[in-house]
Amino acid sequence: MIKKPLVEAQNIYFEKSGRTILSSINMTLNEGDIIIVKGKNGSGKTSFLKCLAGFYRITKGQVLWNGENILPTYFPEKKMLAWLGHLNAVKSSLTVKENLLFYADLWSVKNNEYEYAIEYLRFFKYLELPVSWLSAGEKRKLCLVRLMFCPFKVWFLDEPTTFLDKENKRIFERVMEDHVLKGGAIVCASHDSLNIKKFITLSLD
Amino acid sequence: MKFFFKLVLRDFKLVIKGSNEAIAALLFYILAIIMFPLSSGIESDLLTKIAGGAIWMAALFSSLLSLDRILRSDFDDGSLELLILSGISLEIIIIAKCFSHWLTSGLPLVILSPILCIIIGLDYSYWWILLLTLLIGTPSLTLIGITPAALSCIIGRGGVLTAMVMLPLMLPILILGAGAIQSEISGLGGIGHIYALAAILPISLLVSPFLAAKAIRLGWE
Repeated sequence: MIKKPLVEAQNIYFEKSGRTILSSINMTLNEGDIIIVKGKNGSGKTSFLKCLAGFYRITKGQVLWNGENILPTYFPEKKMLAWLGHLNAVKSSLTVKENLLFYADLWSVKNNEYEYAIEYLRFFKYLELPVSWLSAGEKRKLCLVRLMFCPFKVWFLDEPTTFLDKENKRIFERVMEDHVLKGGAIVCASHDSLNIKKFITLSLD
Repeated sequence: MKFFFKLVLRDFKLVIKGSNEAIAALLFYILAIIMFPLSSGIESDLLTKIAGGAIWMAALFSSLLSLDRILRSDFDDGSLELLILSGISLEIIIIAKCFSHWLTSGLPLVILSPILCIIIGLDYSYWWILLLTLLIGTPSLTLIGITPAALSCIIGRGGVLTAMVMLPLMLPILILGAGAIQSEISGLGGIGHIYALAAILPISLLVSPFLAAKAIRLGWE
């Protein structure tokens, strides 16, 4: 039996308020793939990710998840997708720990995986601080910790390295490579050139 | 169901930590009630006449104030996107949001109702009917208000505009709630109003989560 690709975009078109944003895009995401979506500002990188996830409704074409027309936003019980968008989705009045534990609890993450992620990204010293005290880069790093212990197979990342310094970028690249080695898959929209051994580039220009 | 309570617990924590406007809305409510006796004199029979209306007006405005924020904060910081990808359907998220909003803004009104009776000079024998109307009416206020609140997320601003959409929708609750107290005082018996209020609650519980979820999805598209 041929294994079905995790996510497949077949000739998708997307229009928003009369403007064509995506036209005739094809993509196949298999286990172990990292796809880097490249393109100029306004070329539709974020829209592309949102179309795949189901936040936006495509005007033509087809998006298949595991060979079926089931989009994660419409079938949340399937738990298919880890999402890191422009927005950090953290609550600034709660502490770092409360933010992380809420999602760890929601995703039923094992305790050791949670602690491993914190240790790996050296986030231990921040745990008791309220998120509003963190800098933009530290908040982004908090998202990476959360992403790292997220048990879902497919990761969609939208400019994950914004605000990160060089060292943290290196660490993040390792996290991405580890994830695909474990059988995951990543679609990442990014301007930065990432230092990753094996990846597929998808250009939207 | 497990998710439901986790979400409610988190929202509750957010309110306690003061990032939400629920506490401010509650204070506003008490202040508004205090204003009534101060502004219209202390003649007790006049106050008794307007007591039901005054309490319900204040309840309406205080829930208007806090409703605007409950979905918007999660919509704006991206939490809603992440939550829906975490295995909770949007409708359940919205019911959880309504429940936590009621816990932090409706339930305190119910608990405070004996004190309100004293402040506004409502006779103690009518306390039970005030309690009943608030207990049954305030959840409906939240549920009815959630759809306009969801719509206000989409257009990106709330305030007066949301209030203008919400107020007409909440009018039946106001009329029935205040009417129940008034007719009990005038000796007609307010239980009929209470039955009507009790009928609105399940209807709004069934309809509004779907409407609000639809509104949020429209906002994403």
